Amino acid sequence: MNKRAVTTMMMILEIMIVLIAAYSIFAIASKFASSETTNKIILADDIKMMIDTLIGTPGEAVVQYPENVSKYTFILSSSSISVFIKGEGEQKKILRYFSLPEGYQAFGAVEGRDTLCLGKEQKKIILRECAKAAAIVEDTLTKVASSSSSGFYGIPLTGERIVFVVDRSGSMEFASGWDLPEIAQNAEKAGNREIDVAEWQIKSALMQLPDGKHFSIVFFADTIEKNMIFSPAFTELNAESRAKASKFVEGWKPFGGTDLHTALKKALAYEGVDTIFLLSDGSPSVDVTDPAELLLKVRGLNQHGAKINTIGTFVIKSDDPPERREAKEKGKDLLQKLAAENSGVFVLPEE
Amino acid sequence: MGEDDIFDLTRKQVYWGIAVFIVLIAALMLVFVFLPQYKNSLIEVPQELRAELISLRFVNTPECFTYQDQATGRIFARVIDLQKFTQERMDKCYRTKPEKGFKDYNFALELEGYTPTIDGQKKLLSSNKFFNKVDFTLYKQVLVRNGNRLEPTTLIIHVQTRI
Repeated sequence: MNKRAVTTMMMILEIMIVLIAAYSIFAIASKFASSETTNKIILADDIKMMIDTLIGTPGEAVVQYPENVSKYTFILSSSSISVFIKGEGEQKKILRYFSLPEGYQAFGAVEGRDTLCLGKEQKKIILRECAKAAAIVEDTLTKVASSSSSGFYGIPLTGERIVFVVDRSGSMEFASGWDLPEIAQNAEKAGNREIDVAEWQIKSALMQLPDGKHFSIVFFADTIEKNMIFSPAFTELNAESRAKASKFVEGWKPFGGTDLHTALKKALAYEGVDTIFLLSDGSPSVDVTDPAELLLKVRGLNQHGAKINTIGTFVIKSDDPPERREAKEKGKDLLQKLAAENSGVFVLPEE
Repeated sequence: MGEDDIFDLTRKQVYWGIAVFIVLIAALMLVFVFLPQYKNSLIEVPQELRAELISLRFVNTPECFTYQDQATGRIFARVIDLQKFTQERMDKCYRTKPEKGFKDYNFALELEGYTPTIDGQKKLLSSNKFFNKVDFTLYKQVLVRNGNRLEPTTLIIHVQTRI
């Protein structure tokens, strides 16, 4: 090979190296630009700014994020917004903090949904999927019921395959704010504790439901033993099963903590369940205790869209001590959101 | 190997040595300078915009300083209620984290013509981690409700972005 040929070869080699280097730089930059970390940072910053804007907006408003966000999970709490991709480690979570004026709350979670909306309702900043934001007012209305003589705590008994999920934790020992259903007025009763009223409400509901519907009953505390479940699969309602279930709900003693997550998981695992009635104080103390995380998990479990109606067992009294009142408000919030996010109704006794 | 060939070989070695060095420097510059700059340019939001959005609450939110008619509940955006314009209210309106709040945006508010002076110093309403390191200032034309009168003035917002 002569010298001229070698020089030409070297030149071609050099040009190729330069092109490869240029392409690599471009590829790295492109990859970086489209990296999930960058996207997550942008999303978290945008949501933080949306929250600041909503706080500074007089009245109520809903803002939709103008991008598809189906790859990401968002959890909003009263001090931060976190953005991450399902399944990735804690260290990859992008967190942005913000400050709310006193009395404001922020909450909500969205996972794997195309749209994301932030709404301001009075002093609440709510993060949710947009389809549900359209029905904000409808969804979050607390239907306060003072009389519960029909339905289950006043909620109409709709649905074909129904699970009653009943809290039997220590808090069910408290005096109930609910009236006994009319059917129980003349009956002998063990007392007026939450658990007693629950017993009569279930019996009343079973009497109102026509034969042929399918049902089950799940009691829960900090654990759910086998004997706390009426039947592991749906039972068809008839005279015999009605009597058996009425016997089943008698005499439960309140004790222990509240594992809402496992209870709802069990209820949602019933094949073809379309309606759940959840009776609780809304204060999970075992397993998943963070309300935002619990809502997220329930959303994941309830892919088939069962309606979850929630019943608060407590009365928020004007003379409640501040800590007690705060706990009740939190419980109310969680139950309200559970119902709103799952097409159900939330009821609470009034003072 | 002739003298020319030895010279050629040495020249190539020097040439490639310099080329590798330049590529290495370029790679290091890319990783430590250009990519972080590029990343910042992608995620950057102007500080003034961030401050503007946070400070909307000072003039539009009744939980901060905005006047709200007690009888009707109507909120008068951009009308500052002079009775509400207190440090106590500021603490409730905007509060950064006690430990790391100095890394966040902090504000000091001055209502032109209404801010008292003590020992020659204006007594501003400030957020909990404001340390007088003012990065920039925002001005908002507002009305002040003083008794039953509405008077135009300027809300001066001193912004400390980060310490």
